[in-house]
Amino acid sequence: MIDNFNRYVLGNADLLGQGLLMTLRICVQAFLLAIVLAVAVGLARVYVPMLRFLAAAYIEFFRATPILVQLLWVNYVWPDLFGFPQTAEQAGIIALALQSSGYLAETIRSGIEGLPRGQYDAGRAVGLSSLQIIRRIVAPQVVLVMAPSLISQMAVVIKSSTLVSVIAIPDLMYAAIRIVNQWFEPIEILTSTAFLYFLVIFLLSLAANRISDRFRTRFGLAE
Amino acid sequence: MLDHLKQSLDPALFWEYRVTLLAGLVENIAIFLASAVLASLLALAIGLARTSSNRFSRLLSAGYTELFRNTPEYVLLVWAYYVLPLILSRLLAQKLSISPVPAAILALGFAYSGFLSETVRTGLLAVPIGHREAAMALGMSRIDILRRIVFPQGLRRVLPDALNQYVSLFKATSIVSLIAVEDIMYQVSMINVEEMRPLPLYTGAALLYCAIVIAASQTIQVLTRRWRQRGWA
Amino acid sequence: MTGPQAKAALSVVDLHKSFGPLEVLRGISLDIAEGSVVTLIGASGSGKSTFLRCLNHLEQPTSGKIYVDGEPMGFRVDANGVSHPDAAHMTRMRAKLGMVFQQFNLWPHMTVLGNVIEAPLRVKRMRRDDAVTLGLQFLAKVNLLDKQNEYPARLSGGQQQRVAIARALAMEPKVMLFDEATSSLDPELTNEVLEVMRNLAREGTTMVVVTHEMGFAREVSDRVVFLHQGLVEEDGPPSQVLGAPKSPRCRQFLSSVRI
Repeated sequence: MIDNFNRYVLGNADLLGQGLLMTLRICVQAFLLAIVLAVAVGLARVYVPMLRFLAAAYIEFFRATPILVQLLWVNYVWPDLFGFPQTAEQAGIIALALQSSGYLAETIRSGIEGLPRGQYDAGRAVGLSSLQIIRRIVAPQVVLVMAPSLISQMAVVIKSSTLVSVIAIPDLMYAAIRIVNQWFEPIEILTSTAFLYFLVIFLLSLAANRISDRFRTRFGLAE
Repeated sequence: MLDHLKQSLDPALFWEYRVTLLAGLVENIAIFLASAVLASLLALAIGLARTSSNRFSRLLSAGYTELFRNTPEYVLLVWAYYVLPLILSRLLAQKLSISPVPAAILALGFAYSGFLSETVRTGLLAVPIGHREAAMALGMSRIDILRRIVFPQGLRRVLPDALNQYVSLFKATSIVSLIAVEDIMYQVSMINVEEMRPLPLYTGAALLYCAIVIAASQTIQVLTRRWRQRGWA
Repeated sequence: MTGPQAKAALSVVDLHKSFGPLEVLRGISLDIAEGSVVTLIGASGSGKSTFLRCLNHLEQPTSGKIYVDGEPMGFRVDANGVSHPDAAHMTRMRAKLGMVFQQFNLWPHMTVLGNVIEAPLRVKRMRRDDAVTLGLQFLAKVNLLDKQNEYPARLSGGQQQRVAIARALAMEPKVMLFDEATSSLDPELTNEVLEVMRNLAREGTTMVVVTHEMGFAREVSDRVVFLHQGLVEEDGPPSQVLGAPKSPRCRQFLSSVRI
């Protein structure tokens, strides 16, 4: 088995590496897009009451549909409907972002609402301007409180990204399956791929837990 | 664009193939039920082990939980279908293959046992230790204590969370089409190959899942509220 | 078997209990005669609760032996007189001791009657009709017959504790153990529980009571044992231990308790 490992896994390390890079690229872009969407939706819900229903419906829809279904839908239907995405990669990023944006919108909302009023008052009482209050008091605390959730949501994005191979995006799964189809030796390759995914996601969830505990003990911030 | 929108929302194609699609949905439901049972049984065992007084049990079960919570379901599915039979063949010195449906049930069952075991553990930990002690003081056996005192209270409390996990599991059954299980997504893809009309097909699939999942979630919410009122959960 | 163990309802021989490096019980030996009421008093940390919990092995003693009605707890004695540790045996023997907890520990998902008959059903494997009859009998004894179908959450603290007493009594144990049974109760509710305990004593129940209620200790117990730092400091009738204790530490404790 070690021979096989060397031959098929290490031997194809470049292909797998490229797949991994694609996975990370897609995930990071999807995550950033998701945050933008989440903020937009969150703001819309608070400040544009008429869009509140739309925003809620949007969140419900993307939480209720499996990621595979969303991937296929965005990839095959959207180009005709909206004119974009033009590439499979774009479709993957959009679908992943849409899936996470719902959860992230909730996280952001509870993060902001969870901040005690007194924080604002204290800032105003010492004469800070609104901008300063947001920059120095509100934002740091909100980010700290949300950090663990954000990190675990990133882990979710990576887990979901395994499906983008279905629309022919050359990610890690795609590379692994291609190699398996070529050489018919699935054990070492698939197990190594599985382990790789596990490692990345496990480390992320560890980080989320550590940060959450550290924040709780050091800053007394609840989660 | 409006024309395309109308096409997407046109139910005619779905209606035309309703029998095939229904058969696919039944496949999803069947796999869902089987995986749910498997996941629940595993979760009970692992959840118990997580709260055991035996350190080894605790560590092993924690490892199990981390493994299955942090590995993507699709990866587990592919592994169960391609790798597991080979490993079993080597171990049992016999040529073995696993057909797609059992592979799917195994993969999803084990995957979700990870999440559910955390839920079970939370429930078990929430039962005050005094209740257990009272039962011990009365001479009740460990099994009876679990059966009559710990599980009824602990599991009831986390039932809403568990039900939401089951909904996630149902969503996850959509991936079984990727190892050629003839579920609803598989049927949708096949029909698309025939008809070349992705707009109503994939939009319809999305809306179908949406409807099922939202209906289920709302039901759970209503039930949870009612249970909370009665002081159950 | 001969010796004091043969006559005593409960016999403790050189009981030690350590939690890690901390030795809480440092060698307690005690015989409790059938029908007697023994009250354990002492400062917090003296080991009273730990001692009680060791009796039915809710805490595992580090060393020492406990005999209930002459039978060693947690050990099975074979034909040659050799003892073997036996966990199943211990579970069975626990049924011979009844315990009432400070926190009542009623099971909230069962009715009052359900709580009382659960152990007779599961442990003694009684038929349901018999168990219900028995349960109602003991509920009547604690004056809560009318609450039989209520859930514990609807009862006051005093009522819950009385149900807990009925639940322990329903197993018809040899000895009843009371672990600060009234300490969690509001003052106006302690009396109803103490009244039940008094009646039990009058009927000849063997009781070991850990309590702060000195009045109860004085009026109801046959014997008061003062524990200090894991050892028996004073042991005698209430008139002595509470009235004119020989041990200076006991005197000190009593003066700090009586305001």
